Amino acid sequence: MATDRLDHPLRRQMALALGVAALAGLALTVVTPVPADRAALVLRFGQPVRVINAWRTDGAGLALRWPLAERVVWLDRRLMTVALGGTRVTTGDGQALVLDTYATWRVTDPVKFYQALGNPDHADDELRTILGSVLRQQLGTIAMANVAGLQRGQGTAAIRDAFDRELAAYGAHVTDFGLSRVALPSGAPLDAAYARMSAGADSTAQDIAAQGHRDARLIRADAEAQAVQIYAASLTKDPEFYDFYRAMQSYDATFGQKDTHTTIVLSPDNAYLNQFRGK
Amino acid sequence: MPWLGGAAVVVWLGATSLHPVGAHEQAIVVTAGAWGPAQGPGLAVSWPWPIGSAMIEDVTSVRHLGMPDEEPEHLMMTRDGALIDVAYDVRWRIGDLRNHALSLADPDAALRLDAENAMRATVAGMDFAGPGLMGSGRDTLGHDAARRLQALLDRDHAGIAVTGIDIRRADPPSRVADALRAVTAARSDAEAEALQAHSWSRQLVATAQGEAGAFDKVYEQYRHAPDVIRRQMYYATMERVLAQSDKVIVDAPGTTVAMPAPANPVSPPKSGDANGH
Repeated sequence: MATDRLDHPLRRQMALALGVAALAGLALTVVTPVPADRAALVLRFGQPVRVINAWRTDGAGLALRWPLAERVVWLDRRLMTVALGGTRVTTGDGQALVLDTYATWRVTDPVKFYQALGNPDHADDELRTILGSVLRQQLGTIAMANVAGLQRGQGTAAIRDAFDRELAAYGAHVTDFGLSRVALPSGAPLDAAYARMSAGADSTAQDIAAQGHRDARLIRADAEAQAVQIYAASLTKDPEFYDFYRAMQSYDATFGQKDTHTTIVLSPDNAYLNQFRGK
Repeated sequence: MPWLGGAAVVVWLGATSLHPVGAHEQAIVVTAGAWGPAQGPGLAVSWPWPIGSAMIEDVTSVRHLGMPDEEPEHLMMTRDGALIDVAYDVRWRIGDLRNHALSLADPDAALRLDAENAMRATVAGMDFAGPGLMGSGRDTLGHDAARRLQALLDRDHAGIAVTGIDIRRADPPSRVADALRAVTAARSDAEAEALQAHSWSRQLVATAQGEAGAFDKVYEQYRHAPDVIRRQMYYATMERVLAQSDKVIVDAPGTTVAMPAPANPVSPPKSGDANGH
């Protein structure tokens, strides 16, 4: 019938498709593509046997493994960042600080790393704990005056190296360490900093006011000196005449104004009355 | 049926092995996990999926990272132990696509932390007072921090190019704002005082110049006929003075003159040989 006629080629095609699928499935279990940003740690019955595309090697591409017996644990080959926030430390001279710190690190020995930490997902917590203890140890000896330097990157190398020594046991390497926040804890230390700033501003304001007074005084003194110089230059030409000239002006100003009602007693010997007597 | 299968194969090949790369983009062709070099705009060709794929990223557009994103005050410590509230924007783009994808597991987090590190380091190297962050130092802050951030990123080969850092805010914390306003007020008071002193000085000098100049002019004329001019000036002055005054001329020397009480200066005195006008 119709089914018989279609039956035969269809079966052959299905068998072919099944065969291809089986081969593809086998290929997928045997062949594993290793991406450039990952390292593949191959475990045979749970034991690490080899690493593909580890740090400083170039093994990205297709890798072979035994099906069933071997399984792959993926590790990041890139630099990872571990950030630790809100660490309270006390400096050598007793100043309390809150630090946010971070470090970049990478897995250099996947076998060691896997054996020490098992699942790499838990690595972050473990590393944070280690970083915290390294910090407290290192900053206990630093003076507050050097914290500014630390913020600028002076002395961070020592902390990085200390952290790196700890992580060497985990098959990891620390490349950088940095501070992303240095803060004074709220409460007394922060209040003290604000008070210091306010006091500084107050004394600055007073300094500015005093300098302003001084400057104004000097400006006036300069002008006075200049005025004296101007008078001297012109009046010394004839001091005797100046005495007369200025006296005349002065008489005008004191007696010559309207409504002064000064009573002047004159002796007939007065120079003004020379002609009065009709001599 | 066969042509339908063929068409499906062509579509699959086309869709998964040809990748158009836009003018702003770069592509990295991945073959079974292995990465090729970064290539510029055009058509990137890879093996069809699942063997090959392509990673395409925008490498020219400038991206922004705003710091901080929620905190109201973002305090940093200056070299002289003061606190300053800083907010800024980092402008960046992908500088090297391969490095950006391969060097750091989380480039965004690294950029954020490095930016904070760089900004704090820069602020920690500057003073708050004087020509520091409240003065000319403000202008260089963004530039210095950007340079420092670039150095931090390059150390990790992050493949990020920092275009610049814009300072949105670099202000004293609100709790010391009053004290700092007093400084500003003192500064403007001092300026006003100086202006006033200058104005007073100009007036003083002008007066001196006027008086001296007037004397010079009079003296110039006086020199030609000293005696006559002297007399003229004397009489002219006395005339003005005595015209406004009450006058008493005492003839005999030693005569005592009874003066009217000064409490009633309006009434003209009538005593002795008063020579009223």
